[in-house]
Amino acid sequence: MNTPARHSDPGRALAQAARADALVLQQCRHCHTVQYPPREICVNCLSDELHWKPVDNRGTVLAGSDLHHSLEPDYRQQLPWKLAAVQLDCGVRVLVHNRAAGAAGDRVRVLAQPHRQGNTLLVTAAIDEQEASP
Amino acid sequence: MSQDNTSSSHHCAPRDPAPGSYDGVALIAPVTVPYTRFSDQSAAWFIGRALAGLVRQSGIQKQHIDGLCVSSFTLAPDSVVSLTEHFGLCTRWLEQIPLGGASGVIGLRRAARAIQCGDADIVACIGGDTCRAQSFKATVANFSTFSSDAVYPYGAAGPNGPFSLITQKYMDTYGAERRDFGRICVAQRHNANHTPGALLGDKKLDMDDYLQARPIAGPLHLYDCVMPCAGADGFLVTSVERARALQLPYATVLAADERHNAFSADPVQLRGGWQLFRDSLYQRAGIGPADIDLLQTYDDYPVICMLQLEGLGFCAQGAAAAFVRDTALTFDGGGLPHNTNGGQLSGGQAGCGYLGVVETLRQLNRSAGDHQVPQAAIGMVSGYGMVNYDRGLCAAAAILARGER
Repeated sequence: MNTPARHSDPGRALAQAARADALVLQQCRHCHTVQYPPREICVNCLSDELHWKPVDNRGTVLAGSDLHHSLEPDYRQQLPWKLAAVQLDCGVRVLVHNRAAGAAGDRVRVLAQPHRQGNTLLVTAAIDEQEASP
Repeated sequence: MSQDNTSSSHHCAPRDPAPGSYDGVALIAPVTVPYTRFSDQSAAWFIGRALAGLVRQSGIQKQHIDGLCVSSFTLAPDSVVSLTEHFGLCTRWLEQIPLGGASGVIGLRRAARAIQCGDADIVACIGGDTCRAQSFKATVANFSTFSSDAVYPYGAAGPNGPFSLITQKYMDTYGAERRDFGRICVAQRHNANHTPGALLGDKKLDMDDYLQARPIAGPLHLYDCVMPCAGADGFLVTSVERARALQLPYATVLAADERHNAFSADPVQLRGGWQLFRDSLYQRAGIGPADIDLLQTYDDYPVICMLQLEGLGFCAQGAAAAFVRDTALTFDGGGLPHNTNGGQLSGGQAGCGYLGVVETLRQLNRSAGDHQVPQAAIGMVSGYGMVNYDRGLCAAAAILARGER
């Protein structure tokens, strides 16, 4: 059995809203809070009027680690798998596949890339030096 | 460092007044159903055998138990009410606490209030789990909505993923080294070596073994990672009056508290909700950290023990690595006896944080046997649980005292 995780409706909506040229995340129409992981209620004002908007996808790597063990056979073939936490300038923290191998403190971009079963995976990408400052 | 009291609009608000006293409440009859790595039995079997142990040890008949509080990750599709029918109980109070490693301390709090308010006379509190070949994977793959959407697809490492990042950030921020985490793990193994039934208690672990273990995730190596297993722990909550009438050894609750989703704006979890209640906790108990004879922290990973040492005031924020270099953590080391039965890191993970409560009760009853802390009179037990996304959301702690005979 591959990835047995069941994606939620907001989780599937994130994949549907994904674009190649921008990072699209959930935003509240009411108070404009950007939130992640996706959910059905605004974490700040509790409105349910949420929509999907391109956000500033620059951020700073908080911590990274190489995974040497996975519960899923598919990932076992890709070990060590690079995981990282990134603080995005738009205010949310994301766990990502650290494809750009950013170290703690590095500036990166985060993109949503197609993943298996119609889902997306957030990944890091290198950032131009003049683009890096917030 | 950046983790000052940065506030966001959904930050935890200050809480006053503190919870009322737990006067008159007694905790009795600590029992453990021996842990095993895997089991073909169900969670209901483990919880049921714990209940049988509570009846046997207390001499209280099953039909006099009028409250039941359970926690389990592996009980579904059954719930606490299903168990009344499994075990032939007719109760007037039920509780099921899905708060992971904070459930033991929080179950104690809920049951204590039921006793004080007269909603129940005798509550059985039990944490129990089974473990089958695929059950751990099933639990972590669908642990929470956020986890399914935003954690599991990122390498399917289970809790090792988020905790590898927390551990790395802690090392980067405070200069802790692997050897510092190793001191916690090696001391706990020494304690387990003196605890019959501890799952890894028949194996020695020294610092070289610890440092040479195979890598699992980032800075985490094999002996940093708790081993899921099957087992159960339980105790009874009743009145001091009843405990004395039954001539049973008991412990009282000097103070207890909990906080959830604290410091949600911190970029990486380097502290938990303990900071928000510890001063009032000690004030209510009328003691300070130096008066604690033994401490049980929730030890899914050693960095989380460090967060609790700091959060509960045994050392300053960021100073736990220095603290464990200078302080013996073994039951017989003369420092701060910590996770005195080996904890989960050497005993296995089952039963949602009940292990620390039950071990504290044994120590205060002076029934811990080979790993007894001499003259143990005041014990602290701390809970931590539920990595919903990138950090544990639940923090809880209780200060317990040996009851007067």
